Amino acid sequence: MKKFLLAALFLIASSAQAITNDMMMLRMNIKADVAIEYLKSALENRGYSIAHTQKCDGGMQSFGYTTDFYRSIFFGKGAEAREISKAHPDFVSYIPHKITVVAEREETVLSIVNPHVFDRFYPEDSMMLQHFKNWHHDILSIFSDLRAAERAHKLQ
Amino acid sequence: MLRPLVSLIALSLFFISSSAFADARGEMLFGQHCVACHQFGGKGGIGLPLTPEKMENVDDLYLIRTIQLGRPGRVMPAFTELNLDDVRSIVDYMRSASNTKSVVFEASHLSGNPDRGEGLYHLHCVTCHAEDGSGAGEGTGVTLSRHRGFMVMPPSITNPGFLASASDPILEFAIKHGREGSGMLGFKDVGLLDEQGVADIVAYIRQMGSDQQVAPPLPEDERPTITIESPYDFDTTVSNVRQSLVGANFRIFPDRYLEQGLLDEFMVNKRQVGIRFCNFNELYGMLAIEPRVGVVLPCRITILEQEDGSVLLVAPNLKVVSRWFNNDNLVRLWAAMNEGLSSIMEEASL
Ligand code: HEC
Ligand code: HEC
Repeated sequence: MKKFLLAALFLIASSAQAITNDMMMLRMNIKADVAIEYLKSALENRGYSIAHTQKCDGGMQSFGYTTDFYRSIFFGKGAEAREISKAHPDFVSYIPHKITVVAEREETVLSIVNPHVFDRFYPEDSMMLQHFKNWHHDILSIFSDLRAAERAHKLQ
Repeated sequence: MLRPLVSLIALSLFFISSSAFADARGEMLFGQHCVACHQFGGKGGIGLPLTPEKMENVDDLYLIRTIQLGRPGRVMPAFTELNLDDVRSIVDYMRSASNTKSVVFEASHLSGNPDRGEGLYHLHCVTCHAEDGSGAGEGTGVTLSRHRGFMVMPPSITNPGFLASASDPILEFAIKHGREGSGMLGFKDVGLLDEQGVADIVAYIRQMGSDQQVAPPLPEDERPTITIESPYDFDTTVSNVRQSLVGANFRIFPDRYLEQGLLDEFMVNKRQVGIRFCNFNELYGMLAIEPRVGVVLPCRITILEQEDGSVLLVAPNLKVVSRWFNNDNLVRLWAAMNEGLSSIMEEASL
């Protein structure tokens, strides 16, 4: 009973937190080749490993398209990946996480899917809901680290 | 004599500092929620430019409602988690940053005839705003990183969020005086339309708006991935998937293990592999519609051998994923792509 109540409370708390923006975005007033380095260190400082960087622009250019800097960074935590692929093999398409880094002239726009979009698919799974909450929180922290890095960069 | 002066100064200092405080909050919220798409100074990005000239053409109510309702199916989210005070402080900040005031419109006296409006719309507006008012061309705003068919991508003027935010006088004002720097003329200013013609078009836009279809909600039982069990062993399944992809004209990237780069190399489970693929032609078209598609692409079919030896194929369900962008053009495109992806997976596990 107590467990049930806790789970119910948890659900209420997490749905009150749920926000409508399915995409989390950040614009940095820094060129993309520099911004991506700040992003990589912010991810690592928050305990994430960077699995790899995909150069989407390179691929498109080799097919004759003109495009600006467009990269995706894949990142995650090994232990989490292993735990989730075992408990929820149907979730593996979203592991590792992926954030895009796109240049808009002298500025850079980062986009990542808000992990809370998955809440509705695992309404009774407290482990998954906790992961979504943690990831959301980490992304907000990483964005605020990047804002601080941006301010420091401008002062240099 | 002196005392009232002192209190006047004190009073105005209070107002200056409290408005400076409100401004700081508005600026913070604008930075957090709007700048990614609209840029500082309103130069625009995925979102439309919000220049001082534009701010002179709209009232605060339009801005408040636009923030609250967003543009359903047209990229801009509805900021339902912001309360009215927050929304007002964003609008106040937009006003002070652009040095403009809310516009007071005269009530319009003309009633328009949508049938006459239809003819005028097709004559003057259809090339940019499209047959149903949803906006011609691909993409939104002034995204800088790629080629654009228009100086500014024409917005949807039949979007339910837009029509619920814009009063008739706002629509009339936009049509009469156009939008500076966007290619849209002031149709009354240049003598192409008179007052009645403008009112007729407004009536026709409202009529089209009431016929607009937004994407229906997803069925409850839709899952975030397509997951299929393969009747073959791991290695056979991997090679089948590869074959089906090549047959469907995809370019395949080097495989990656699911845990690769996340765990030490010798610990990585080699019975969990992602086959990544892309069709650059399609990718380029998708980027024009939605510059953020990179958060999901390139596509990947992950093949997992489970502890009991069974083998699964897992891929993102694009019908679900497309919803996260609030972009109905992408929803339509990916519904078709999702069929293709499912049949590749089925073929590989036949
Ligand atoms: C050359 C292309 C072009 C033509 C022709 C054109 N428009 Fe536009 N229109 C635009 C663009 C681009 C914008 C957005 C400009 C901006 O916000 O910077 C716009 C904005 C608008 C808006 C305001 C929408 C909003 O979200 O603020 C209305 C209403 C509108 N147009 C109606 C019309 C009507 C009615 C006609 C025909 C009489 C017309 N337009 C003809 C390109 C065009
Ligand atoms: C994910 C991108 C995105 C975000 C975030 C966003 N917008 Fe928008 N906004 C758009 C797009 C796209 C349009 C135009 C829709 C169209 O093309 O039909 C728009 C339109 C508008 C308009 C109407 C402009 C006109 O010409 O009438 C206003 C005002 C506006 N946004 C304000 C805001 C404010 C304020 C915020 C933050 C609270 C915000 N937007 C956040 C994408 C965004």
